[in-house]
Amino acid sequence: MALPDGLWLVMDACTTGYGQANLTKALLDHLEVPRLDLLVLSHPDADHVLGMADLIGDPERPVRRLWRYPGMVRDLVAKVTNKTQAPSLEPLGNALKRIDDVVRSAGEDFDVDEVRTRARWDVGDRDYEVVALAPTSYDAFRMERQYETLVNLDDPNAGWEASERFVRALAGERPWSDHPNTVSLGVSIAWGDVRLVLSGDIEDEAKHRKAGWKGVLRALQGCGGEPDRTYLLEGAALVKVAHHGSTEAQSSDAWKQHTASGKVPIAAIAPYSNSHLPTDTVLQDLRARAAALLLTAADAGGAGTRANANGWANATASPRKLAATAPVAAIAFNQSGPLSVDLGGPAQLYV
Amino acid sequence: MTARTVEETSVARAAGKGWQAFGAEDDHLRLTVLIASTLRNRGACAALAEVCMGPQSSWSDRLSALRDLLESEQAEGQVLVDVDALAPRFKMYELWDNRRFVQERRELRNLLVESGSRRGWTFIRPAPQHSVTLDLSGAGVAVDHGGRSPTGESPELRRLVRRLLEQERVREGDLVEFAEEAGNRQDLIDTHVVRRTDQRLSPEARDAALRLSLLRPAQALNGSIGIVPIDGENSHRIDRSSLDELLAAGLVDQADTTVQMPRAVRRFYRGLAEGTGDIDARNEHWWFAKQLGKSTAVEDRIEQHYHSVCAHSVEEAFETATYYVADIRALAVWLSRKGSINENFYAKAAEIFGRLWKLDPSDAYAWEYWAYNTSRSSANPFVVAMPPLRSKIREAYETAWRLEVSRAGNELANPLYHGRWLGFRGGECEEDVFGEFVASLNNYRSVSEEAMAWFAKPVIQGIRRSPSRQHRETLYDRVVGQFGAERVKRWEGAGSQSGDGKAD
Repeated sequence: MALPDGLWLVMDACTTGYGQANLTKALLDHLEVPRLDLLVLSHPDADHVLGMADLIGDPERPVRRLWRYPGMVRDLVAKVTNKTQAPSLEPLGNALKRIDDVVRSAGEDFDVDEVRTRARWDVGDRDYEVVALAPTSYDAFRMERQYETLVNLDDPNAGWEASERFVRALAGERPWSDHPNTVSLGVSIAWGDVRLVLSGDIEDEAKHRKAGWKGVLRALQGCGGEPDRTYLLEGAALVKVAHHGSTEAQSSDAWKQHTASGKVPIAAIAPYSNSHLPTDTVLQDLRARAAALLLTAADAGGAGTRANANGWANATASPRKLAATAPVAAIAFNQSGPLSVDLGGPAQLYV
Repeated sequence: MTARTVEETSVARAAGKGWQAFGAEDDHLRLTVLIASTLRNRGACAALAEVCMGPQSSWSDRLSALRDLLESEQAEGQVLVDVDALAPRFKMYELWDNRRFVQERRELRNLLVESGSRRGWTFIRPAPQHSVTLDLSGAGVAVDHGGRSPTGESPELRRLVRRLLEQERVREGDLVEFAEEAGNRQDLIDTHVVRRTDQRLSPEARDAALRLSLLRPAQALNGSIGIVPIDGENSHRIDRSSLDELLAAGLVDQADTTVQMPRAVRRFYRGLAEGTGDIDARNEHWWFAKQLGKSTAVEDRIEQHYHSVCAHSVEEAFETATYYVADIRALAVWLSRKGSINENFYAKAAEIFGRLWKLDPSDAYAWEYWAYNTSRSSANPFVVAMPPLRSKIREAYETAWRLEVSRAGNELANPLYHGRWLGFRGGECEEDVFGEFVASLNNYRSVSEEAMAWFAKPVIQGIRRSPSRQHRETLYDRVVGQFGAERVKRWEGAGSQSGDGKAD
């Protein structure tokens, strides 16, 4: 994201495959972005992390500040799993280790914040704001508590050891459900009348009133003497839909806030073909809530076909096609006047 | 008679007066040895001290001797740092199985609090635990709570939190919110605070922290941290700049010429050191043991033994067990727990437990788990069922149970050991134990439902291991016929924490 005064913000970066092309880096190179003023590492899942190590450790493009998810449970899981030859987490473990090494070696070169709801990027005297929506302190705590289910710290001679639950997960006898989405960051960005909501992979499945989207809304509503900050979700021109459009991450309450001021946003989704995301349920729900739907890769897992089946029609007039074959969409917001959309490769806009 | 807080810890350490608990399972034995050694050197009764320090002394004899020693005038005005480290830690499997350690730690804590309150001791509490506060209050020791900080960390971590806030590495509001979520889980708050500091350590300082976490006591600082050189060519383990970084971050405390990692910090790094492979912890322990072998001081010999055990060097561990063998037992327990992953560990555990009961024939735990691990060290039940080995295992299970009964003066003292003995007889020995099972189960009914399950489960599991299919099925069917399939199934699935299947 190119902010109006020339600062640059990037949230997450994947690769096209393990050890393969880093499209985010390629795009930044193409645009000759000189530095990253804020890099957001939302949560420790491979599809958000694998490209990040290249960005953090790039000497040609220094990072000024890193916002990262809280806790280190997944980092430990990935690291230890790597050693036990479980292939699925090995690339993630390597990426997390590279990130950790770079951050530790950076010293004072750039700032690292483990952020929570309401954390604000201090951009000085500028006319825009960047604020973290999630995770809440409750979710951060939930994730940190998992540390004790993973390790046994109190056995004086065994020292660290994997819990039985974790050992069984490594052996493939049961799933390891550490739910990294629990700690996913979300970010609200606004200048003038333009607001963007980048929802990361914030979930809505937990029943607890302090968890996921429910917790975000509760925290923003200003309990405990804090001022009401629900405006951070309102009047959005664009909402990056949470968790690739999974049903569990689609929060009706959050969307009510997005449209509360009468504005109807564009919903942007990065489809996830392995899990057939976005789901039909979400595509239908968005039909009633969003002005347009942007899929960065309409060909991924049949996402475009499902969008059509759920009432979305391909936009033909407004979007321009980029020469790029990569799944990329570029949107320019203007304070006064219409936005413009450029699409590359399989990206598609629907109305 | 006062209980003081962390600011005075370094003063006490610098003065070299008093003792410090470390929060490890051997603390009760280690402290007993150290206190006896100190008082003997000051002229207290040498014979009593010898009992406290003798490798074959039973715990009850040690405790009794220590009680008498603490009545001597040499025990006046001492300092005990971190008595809270002796607070019991919650572990499900300690309910029946390993409760001897829990009980012993409690007995020592009670003795120290009682004697200390009479003898004007100073209790310095860098990481207070609620249960110990109650004990101290009950014993009439003045307790300075000092007020809990809004961020909730242990007093020994307050300096660390101050630095985090000064350097704006963390928002106070985040810490306060975390403390609110954590409630009374002090360990979670402390872990969180240490982790936030750890995030920005340089890789070199982090390695140094991992290594330092393997050392328990305060370390002399005079060109080295105790036995670890920090200057010159041999500083490959911990170097001066890393140590300075740790001191600056507040992860290590300095008192004049000594440095020490606070217990809460050590707990965090030790967990990582032993498990993530960032350092070769076993090799580090081995090296520390080797270096400490050059000293004859009681404190150093205890630490040498501790590191030998942590290095899993069984021979060295036995050779260095000058005062007690509790650490070795913990190693055997660990091996036994790993037996389900690798059967060779059962055999190694059995070897250690066998040596332990030869050293102390009153050690019920060693008898029990020699039998348990021996019976599982062969995957083939027919081997276990061979007469010579079978009768030895049977005898060991019985010895363990009878020792427990004798110690408690109660036939119903340990349903788990009783159940394992009966289970082995009904299984590998192919005895008809049905009548005895029913009668004993009736007796445990008067204790609790839980006790019945602790007894029934190992019996039923034992029956299922019988090499004779006919015997196995007949006996099992009779049990089901008597109690119903649903109840038997419930017993068999009773808490995986029951300890059966694991020597924990």
